[in-house]
Amino acid sequence: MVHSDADRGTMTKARKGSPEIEEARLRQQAIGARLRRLFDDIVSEPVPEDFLDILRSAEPGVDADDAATRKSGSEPDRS
Amino acid sequence: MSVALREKDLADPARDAAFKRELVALIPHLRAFARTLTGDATAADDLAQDAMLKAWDARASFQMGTNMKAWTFMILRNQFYSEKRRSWRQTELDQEAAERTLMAVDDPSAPVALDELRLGLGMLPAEQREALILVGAGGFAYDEAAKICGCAVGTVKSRVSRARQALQAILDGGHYDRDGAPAGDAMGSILAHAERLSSAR
Repeated sequence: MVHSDADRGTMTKARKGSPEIEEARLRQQAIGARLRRLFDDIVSEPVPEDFLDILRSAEPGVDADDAATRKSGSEPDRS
Repeated sequence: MSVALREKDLADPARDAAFKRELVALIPHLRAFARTLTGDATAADDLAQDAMLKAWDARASFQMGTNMKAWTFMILRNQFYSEKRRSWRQTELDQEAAERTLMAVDDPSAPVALDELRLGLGMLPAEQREALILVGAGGFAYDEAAKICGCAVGTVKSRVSRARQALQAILDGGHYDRDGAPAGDAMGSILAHAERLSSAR
């Protein structure tokens, strides 16, 4: 099978380990590392209190209606 | 007095407690997914809180012991799209998100490299952005990301690949300099690039 020079050039460029491929790979690694840092920086932030407050008020027996009732002073009938 | 018991009255308190512990541990991850997805810290926390509440309300349908992170991420991304469907889903370039991100970039305490990345992320189509975040930062395998996005594994792979190429082109277009080129120059170039993309639509 005969390849033209152009074919051979393309194949050489595409070969794993060529400087171009290697550079692209390294730049992708750098972007990947930055993306993980961006994400992990947010993960390591303290969680705002209102997340836990919202979750607490959604627990059984403490639903929104009850919270409103409590505010006005009367207890919900649980019998 | 009603004889019929509501579902929550039948719930197992021990199971609820275990579910809640696991859900609370996932909150930081939900916030990170929401913020990288939306590029807006306030909107992101609203989205993460909605997703957290939806997960809590649907806890009876969750099978304990399976991947709760993937399950909650799926709830969050579905919520994101149900809110943004009309304006975002088919958008090639999210100009508004890019501008919002630009404003966030004005924070001088944030490192330039991450700002540029945040800006670049905001410019990607949402499908590519979410695929890249899930696989590249969220720690999900391609097949898990595919389940979260409700698409084929091959689709996720191609979205991640296109997202990586686009991000690299955006960052290169901004002439990002590892030695610290002026952020304003880089941003100007990126905005110009954004405008070219947007006017080409």
